[in-house]
Amino acid sequence: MASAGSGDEKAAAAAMITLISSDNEKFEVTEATATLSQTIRHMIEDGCTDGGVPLPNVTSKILARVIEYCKKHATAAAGEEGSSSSFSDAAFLEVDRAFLEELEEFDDAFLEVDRATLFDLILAANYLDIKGLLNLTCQKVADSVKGKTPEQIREMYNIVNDLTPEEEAEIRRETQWAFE
Amino acid sequence: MLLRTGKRLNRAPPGGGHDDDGLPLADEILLLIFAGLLDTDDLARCAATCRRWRRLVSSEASFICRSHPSRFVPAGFFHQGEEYGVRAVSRFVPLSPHTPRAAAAANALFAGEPFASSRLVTARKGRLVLELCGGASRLRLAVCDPVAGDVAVLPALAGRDRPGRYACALLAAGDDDDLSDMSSFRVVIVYDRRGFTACRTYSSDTGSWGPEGEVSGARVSGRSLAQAHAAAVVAGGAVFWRVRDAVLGLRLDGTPAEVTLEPLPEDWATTRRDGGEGCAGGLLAVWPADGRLCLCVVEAGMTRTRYDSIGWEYDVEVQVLFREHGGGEDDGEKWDALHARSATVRLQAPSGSYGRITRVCLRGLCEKSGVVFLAAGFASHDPHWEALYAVDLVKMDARLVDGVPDIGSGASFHGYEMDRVEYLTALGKRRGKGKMTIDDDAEDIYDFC
Repeated sequence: MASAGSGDEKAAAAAMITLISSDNEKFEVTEATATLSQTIRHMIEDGCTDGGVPLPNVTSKILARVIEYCKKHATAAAGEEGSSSSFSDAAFLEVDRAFLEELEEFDDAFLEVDRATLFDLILAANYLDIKGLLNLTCQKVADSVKGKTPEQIREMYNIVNDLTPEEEAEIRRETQWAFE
Repeated sequence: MLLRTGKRLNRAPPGGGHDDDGLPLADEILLLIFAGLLDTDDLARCAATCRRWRRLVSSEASFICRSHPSRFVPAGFFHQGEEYGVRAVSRFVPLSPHTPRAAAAANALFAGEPFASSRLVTARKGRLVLELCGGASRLRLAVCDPVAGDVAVLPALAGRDRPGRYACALLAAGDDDDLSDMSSFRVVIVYDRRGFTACRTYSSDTGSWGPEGEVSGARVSGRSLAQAHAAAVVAGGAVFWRVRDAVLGLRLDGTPAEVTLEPLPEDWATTRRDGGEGCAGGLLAVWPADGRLCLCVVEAGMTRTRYDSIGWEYDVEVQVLFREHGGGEDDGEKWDALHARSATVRLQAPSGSYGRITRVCLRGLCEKSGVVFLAAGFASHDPHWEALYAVDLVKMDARLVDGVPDIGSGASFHGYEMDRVEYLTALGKRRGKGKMTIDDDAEDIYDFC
């Protein structure tokens, strides 16, 4: 694992990006944090982030959470690249493991939110194109659906059942073992 | 688990389309959620939730299943019994009494000629191999996929090409590198010629049998080949059949093909003959986690019984012997009797059963999904009657299969697993008609029936 030098850190610390939520709140974040979002990364590359990046689809409440996630994971990404590593490989792996465990705990705690917030986080992650956060939140929904009947799923997520009784009966016949 | 979101789908925005379910999530997000549900039953229930979910589960099944470790779901089994010494018509028995699509399709196929009088040779990966009755002068095999409704009648092997007794295996995508297309398959037969053991392969890509090849390695008698338990399994680039106290292996990569005949460890190869006991001495299987070849044995002697509020329960001991690489450079793979696995499987007795279990045996398997079928006889019943259980090899839990007809001893028995993607895709569609591929000179298949 080669050292990538210390220039990155300095540059990242120098470049701050301002994100503006739909309710006009301003958040100042490092470029390293902001570029976890592919959407913002492209904007930075195109040089259109001066004067702040307006995010009309994301409220301040959700944006604060998204930034919390990005900060944590940006540090993780920097660690993975080994840019500031002076450890031997073994020691580095040890630190790495501890850090990954901490990150997992962070993710678990991060997902302790109500359904509406979870959906908002999914929409924001999709809009900002933050793959890690999108996968994390989608998996949370998937886990909540596991082992549930269609009625329970509909109730949980307020889904309108537009299948005709005949269609529903047919699909139930085909998949009966799933309903036992 | 991390999902790769390489695929961006351009779908209706939330709230758009004619199948609005009131959920503020776009199709592509729902697909990510579905992809996080690895259980096919969960996906089936999602498909029954509303129209939009059904459409997505069905139309994007291959995307949803792409990170699933196994493409196959156990669906049931095929069996063919004998009545008064005459082969009965093959039947499909679903794992639950309510899987009519596959059942109806398969049983409708068997109802008509030329399949009604065919012999069920083997089944693997969602396809069956049938031997059509073609008279003494020729061997005519057919391969069918009952769920898709596809049937391919293979060219006859007649005259000097006709093999004697043979062992047969069906290979499909994933078994070796040449089979990358999902719709392609190969049929391999191993048989005895005067003076040598021969092997021949049919490929669905060319629509013809390849030349007969002499195999190197062991010489296998026709008698042994005829006794090869019909369920071939594929592990580590080779096909395996169980032949009495040994395992017959055929490597797929070598030219000429190489056959091995390995004896099983002594205490695992029971000398008990097959007299109606199914796979006494063990059933070959593939360990689902790592694809190792293994041998499963069930013991009745260890049975303990118990009665609780839901009825009688019985414990049987299932043991799994693995074939491991010896470790050294020149070492081949060996049966490793030291590290066999043993697990207690609890059987819930069918209603009306009590008293002890008189016998247990393994009947067949769903190779890819790691499910073996275990049959048990009870003292309280007709001595020939058997209850059938589907046993998950990894979880070691047994599920009683309801509505199993008397499968009888000596019946040909083949577990059947369905392609997961095909199954989910079918949920959103009305059943269409399958494809029938018959070789030009095949009118004779109706002549002898």
